[in-house]
Amino acid sequence: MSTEVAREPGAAMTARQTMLARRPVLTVTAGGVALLICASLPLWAFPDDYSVGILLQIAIYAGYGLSWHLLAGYTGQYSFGHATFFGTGAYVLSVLSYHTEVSPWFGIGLAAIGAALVGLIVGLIAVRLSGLFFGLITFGTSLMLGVAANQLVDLTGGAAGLPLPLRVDQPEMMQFSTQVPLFEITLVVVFGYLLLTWGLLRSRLGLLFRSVRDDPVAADASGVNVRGVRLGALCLSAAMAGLIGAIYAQSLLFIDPESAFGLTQSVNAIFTAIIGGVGSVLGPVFGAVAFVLLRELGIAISEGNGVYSVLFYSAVVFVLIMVAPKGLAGIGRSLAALRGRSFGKRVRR
Amino acid sequence: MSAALTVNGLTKSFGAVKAVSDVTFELNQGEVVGLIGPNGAGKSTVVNCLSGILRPDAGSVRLHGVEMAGKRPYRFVRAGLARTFQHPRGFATMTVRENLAAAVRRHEIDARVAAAARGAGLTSRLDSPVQMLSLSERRRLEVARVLATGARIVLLDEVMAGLAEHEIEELIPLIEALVAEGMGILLVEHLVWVVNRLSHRIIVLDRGQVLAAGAPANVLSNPIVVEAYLGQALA
Amino acid sequence: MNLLIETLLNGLLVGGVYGIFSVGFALQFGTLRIINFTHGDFVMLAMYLGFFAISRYGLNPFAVIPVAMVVFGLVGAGLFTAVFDRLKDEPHEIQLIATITMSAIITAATQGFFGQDARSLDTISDGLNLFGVHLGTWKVIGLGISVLLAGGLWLLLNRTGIGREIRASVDDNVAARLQGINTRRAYLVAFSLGALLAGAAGATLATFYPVTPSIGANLLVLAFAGVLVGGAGSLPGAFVGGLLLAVVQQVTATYQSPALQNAYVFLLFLFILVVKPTGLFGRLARVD
Repeated sequence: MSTEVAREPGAAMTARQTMLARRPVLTVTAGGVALLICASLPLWAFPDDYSVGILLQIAIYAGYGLSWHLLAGYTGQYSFGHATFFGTGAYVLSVLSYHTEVSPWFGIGLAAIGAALVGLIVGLIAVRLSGLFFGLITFGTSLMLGVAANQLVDLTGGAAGLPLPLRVDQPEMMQFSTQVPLFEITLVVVFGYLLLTWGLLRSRLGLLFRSVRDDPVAADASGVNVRGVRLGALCLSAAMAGLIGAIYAQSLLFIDPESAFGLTQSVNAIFTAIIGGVGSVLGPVFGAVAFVLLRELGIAISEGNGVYSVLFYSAVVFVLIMVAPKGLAGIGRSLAALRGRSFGKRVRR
Repeated sequence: MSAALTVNGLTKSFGAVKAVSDVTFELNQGEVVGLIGPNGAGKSTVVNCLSGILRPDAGSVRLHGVEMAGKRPYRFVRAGLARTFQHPRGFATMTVRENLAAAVRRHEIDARVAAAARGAGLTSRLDSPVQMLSLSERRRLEVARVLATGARIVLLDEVMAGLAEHEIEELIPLIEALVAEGMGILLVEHLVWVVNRLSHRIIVLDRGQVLAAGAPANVLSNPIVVEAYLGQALA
Repeated sequence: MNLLIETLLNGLLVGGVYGIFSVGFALQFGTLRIINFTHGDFVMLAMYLGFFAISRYGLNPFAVIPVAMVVFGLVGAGLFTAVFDRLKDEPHEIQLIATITMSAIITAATQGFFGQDARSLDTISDGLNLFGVHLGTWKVIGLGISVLLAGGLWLLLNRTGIGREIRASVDDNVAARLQGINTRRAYLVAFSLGALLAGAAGATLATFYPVTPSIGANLLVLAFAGVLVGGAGSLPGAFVGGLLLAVVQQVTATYQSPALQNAYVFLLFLFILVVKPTGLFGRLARVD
């Protein structure tokens, strides 16, 4: 019912009445079990620090992808510069850690708030404009913040970046003897995001989000404050990205303008969110797994040559996307349908 | 008692073209005012100005005494005015039920959704995805959406366009029922016989200006009106 | 004052070429409604073509530019048939990932082949003095070429059948399809034209700008912003938008610093959008 002729609305997120969705208790329990399993991975499956580092990266990108996914999938706003919020979060934390004694435990919260504020400012300009402008505006802000980070040398360390103070084995400053605790923290955050996204999907607010995404004019005519909804979604998505960005900086104990605000970082969000399939809440998680593993594989194959690793995983993703457009989560659904059981089938009461 | 909707001196131009010029009329609860006119007369522009999609260049739009001109569409809806769209709109990834639920602003959503569907004759289609609806059902969905918002002033924008005769015959009692409940309806239509049947008053628009206004019988036999519609059957 | 005039003039000269590839982008975007992330990379590739053809094989730039146009026009046609024709029916997110990864592949492959170093031609430093203002020779020629191309494009779009179909598709995609315009053919031509213009712009740029594998993204952003500033439904708007942003970029690069130039471009972009959201020449109704 949009003005586009014969264009299917894509694998958009719907409140499908799948087996799990109809029994929220079951879903939450399943989720809790999954969380425990994932949290225990470092114990039995991946005991070495390098592997836990990989798991941490996956968790970080899953969270980042989820923040992008929320915005795009729910309100149809495609952000080409999500690094704006990721980087803001990263720098808020880094600047606080470098210049003050504030504990990162507070720092990451402030990072999320800072990112939400940036989201608000961007939103006030961008939500009055249609989709295309939004993408470019967010790109522009990531660019400008990158320039700011480069220029404000006293605050941010400039192009050389900002190292975070090393406080060996001080849990109150979020630094531990292994990567495991940070992984667990990030895991909790990601599951929190999943819970939030899933809950939102089923709620009235989620209905309003989806109405704005599907047809803003009809939503307006239904009494929905379209700009308000978009702004709210943007601030939420920004806060989520900012929190993850802060964790990212904390995990490396270093940040620089390119990794915070660079185009690559913005593209990473899009990649992760989409290659996992946009149709489901878990999509970005699968996407993060695929993205990180592909990237590692690329680095391994090209023996550390950054260029060839990018070439490798871009080529893989490109082939995948042309062959199986609906993404990994979609493949799962197609497979299930082939086997005769249709997970997405609408069940009448 | 003052009218529910008062339009005064409504004017809107697009560049050099004056689409609507000094349009003035009233709409009361419990009455149907038909708005007719040849193509390009400015009917859509009027409806868009009355629903927040366009900001008028001049003139006032008062809804229950409150000035609304230039406010955004959702504010009109929350103030009690809703409209249908000529090209039916809706949320493509959702069911009829969900579409209507989005429009209900208050509590008891399920009850209101059911009532709105009943009022538009769509109860049997509540759980259908909107993509599977026929054109006449989508038109009904437009009406149901308006009902779901709880608005008492309704702008029906060519709700009969493209429908078969029997489908039109089915929609007419639906509209009559709404009026009987006390709604005020602005009926924008090309089908003059429908307007004649349903309206208490008719306004004729031509080239952005009000050509004639009054009781259907008078307006439709007015020679000026007949001339504007040269070649088109009036009854 | 002289510096200002020189900067402005140089900006205008360069801007013509930027305007050309902005129109190319607008052609592709306007018809297919796909943001072609590889467009900037095409310009970059054409710059490499120009660079090697002129410096290594000693070819005359005036010969290279038409060759680049033909080559890239054909490549564009091929790319459309192989990829974009399919892509136009896919959901937005698929289009996005596909074009982004294609761009990444092109950029990475180019980096692998040619390395990260900037390549620039000797012609860059050639200059003339006109009324006491120093202008790059090839920049002036570049302006001439862009004017020629713009003129040729205008003729094509306004005086031929296919041109009319393209304009109709850009103006109102849905209506064009409903009118039975052979949109697929219009798309193919529009897309190839866009690639052709990218080729021309790149070959021309090579005579007065250095090239690195990663400038594609930079150029794309300028083209995209130029299109939106000029108004999303308007081809002349895209040209003016690209030109305007290029001028701003040049002026800020000279007066402030090259690092800030893109920041200022974006500030201007935002300013224009806030003041006139449909763009300078835009006619698309703002739905929301």
